[in-house]
Amino acid sequence: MPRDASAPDFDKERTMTAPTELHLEHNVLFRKLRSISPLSDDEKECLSTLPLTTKKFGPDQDIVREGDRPSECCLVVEGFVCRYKFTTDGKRQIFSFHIAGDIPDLQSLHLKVMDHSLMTLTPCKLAFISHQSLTELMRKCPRVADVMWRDTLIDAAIFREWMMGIGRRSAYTRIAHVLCEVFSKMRSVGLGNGNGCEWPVTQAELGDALGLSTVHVNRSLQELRGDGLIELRGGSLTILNWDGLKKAGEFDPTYLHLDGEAEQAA
Amino acid sequence: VTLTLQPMCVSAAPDREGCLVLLDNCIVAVLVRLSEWHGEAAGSWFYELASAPVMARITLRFST
Repeated sequence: MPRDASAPDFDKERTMTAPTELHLEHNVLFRKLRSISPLSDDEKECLSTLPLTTKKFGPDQDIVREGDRPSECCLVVEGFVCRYKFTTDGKRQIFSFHIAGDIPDLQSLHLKVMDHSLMTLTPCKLAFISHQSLTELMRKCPRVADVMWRDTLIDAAIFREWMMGIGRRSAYTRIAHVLCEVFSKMRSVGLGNGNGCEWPVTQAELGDALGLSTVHVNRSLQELRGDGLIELRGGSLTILNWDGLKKAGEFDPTYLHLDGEAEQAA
Repeated sequence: VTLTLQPMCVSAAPDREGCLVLLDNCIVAVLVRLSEWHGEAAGSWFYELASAPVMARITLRFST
């Protein structure tokens, strides 16, 4: 399928590659942090020394649960992860989706008791970083601490957009918006292809994330397909009309603050 | 207490077949029959809209 001429040209902006000596896990973290802020060679070097313990998880497995007091944070190396919580009558609310490079429980470094849970949606490779190692890294390299702080602020900006969607946007717009968001995040860390990316999220999970029934999710996805904006097949999302999808989702990527270099230069 | 089901066409594309649920002549819910677009769920009934007390007690989708 030819690339949509209106698709964002992330490749041009993200051609910088990590030094070859970085291990896969460190490279994934480096790419993520680099997508939101520039990093110097010294800071790269600093990141490369971070001790990590890698583990494989199956789909639908809890990583950390509400009420836990973790002593380590979890870096997503491969796969999809979500934050979630159940109501007392068993309804699940998914708060956010996470991809390679994200540290979805970074806040456990300072908020000692988990106020929500974290689970895998797909088979995942996760790298665990002890709080002690993270604290030492941040003391040794304050610029990396700044970038991680920036990441938590962007995380909050994403929550504001989701709140806007759940409170005020139609099912059609909410879904278009989250597809734009995940696609943009994937592209910013070098995942996905020219006009699409992996999309393993089920209709039930999407409903739990956006406060919709699976019936409404299905209808809205059919409508997005019918409008020639997307194609979903075999766990993959193809964007057929990027400008159209952005318009349908009222998507303005400013809140993702992905162009770290431009912001620094401004 | 009288429960009445009143067949009605609904605008919930691609679903069209539905009915109003009245309790003592008051509307408490709108049901929609799911079309073939919904795969395995096709033919089952879905609470498109329901009043708050009804919402608290129901399963959103059911077969008969």
